[in-house]
Amino acid sequence: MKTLVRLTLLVTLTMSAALVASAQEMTKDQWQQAMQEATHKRDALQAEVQGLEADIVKLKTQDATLAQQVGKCQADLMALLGTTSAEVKEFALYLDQIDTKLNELSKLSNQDLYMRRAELDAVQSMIKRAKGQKLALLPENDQRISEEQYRLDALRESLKQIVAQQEETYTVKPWATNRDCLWNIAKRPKIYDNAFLWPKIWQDNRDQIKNPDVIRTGEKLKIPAKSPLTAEEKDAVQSYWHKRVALATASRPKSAGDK
Amino acid sequence: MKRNVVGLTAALLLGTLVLWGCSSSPSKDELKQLETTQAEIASLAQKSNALKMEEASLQQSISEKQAKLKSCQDDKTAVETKLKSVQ
Repeated sequence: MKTLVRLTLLVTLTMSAALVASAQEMTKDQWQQAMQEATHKRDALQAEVQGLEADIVKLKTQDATLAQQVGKCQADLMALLGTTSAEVKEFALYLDQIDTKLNELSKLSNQDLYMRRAELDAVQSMIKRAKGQKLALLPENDQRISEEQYRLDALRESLKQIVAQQEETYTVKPWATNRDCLWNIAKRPKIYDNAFLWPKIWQDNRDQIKNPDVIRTGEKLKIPAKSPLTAEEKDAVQSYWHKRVALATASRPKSAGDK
Repeated sequence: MKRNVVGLTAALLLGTLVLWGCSSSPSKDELKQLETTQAEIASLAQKSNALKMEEASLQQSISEKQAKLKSCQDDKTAVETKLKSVQ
């Protein structure tokens, strides 16, 4: 009886083990199917890779041909303009300088732009010089120069409006009633409130005022915007004082001690 | 009776063992073959991806050069026209 039980147990265990093992292992049929699919997939990928390699060879050839054509075209263009690629780069840098200057001037306040108005002429000279070069014929450069000229013109327009706002006029009144001279006019609170700025009025009205000591009733004087004396104005004042001193010395009666 | 039971059990046991041993499953070599093929597939897939990236890069380079060539040819035409008008 015991033997029977043991034997039954043994058979049951063996059969269970067999069943479990067969469930885990691939069968031949499954292997065959997997092999078929894998072989098919491999062959398809090999064909794809071959196709891609052939396409890449063609594309590389096309790329190299285009590179040659671009090089030739650029060389022809340089020959037309009688220039070199180094000069083209130099010209581009020159235009960059103009751009930088315009950017700087565009950011100034009205007051500062007015004070630095002479620099607009300097930029115009640079633009004129650029226009005169053959490299300006290149469409890209032509466009840049046009844009720079446009920006400069806009700055000039702004300056005109600033000048119109800032420059006032003053009509000279009689000395007898108003004591109008350049010194007193500059001293007026509505003008400069600072007598030492009289040379600004003198210099801005050189066409009317030959001698700063002599202004005439009724003369309409331009009053430029209040700002520190420029170097030119200071030079003019120095020159004026030297002449005054020279005149005073020359007109001084000789004393007995002078030889 | 006892002999019959023992005999039957032995037959069952033997039969189970034979079935287990003789059931159709691939050999080690065959399994190795499948593994090799699957490794080839992985390698080819990687190569295919790399080639596709190279192809895309070349196509972009070609497009850029075509645009550059057109721009240069347009510049040439414009410069020739301006030079003629200056002369």
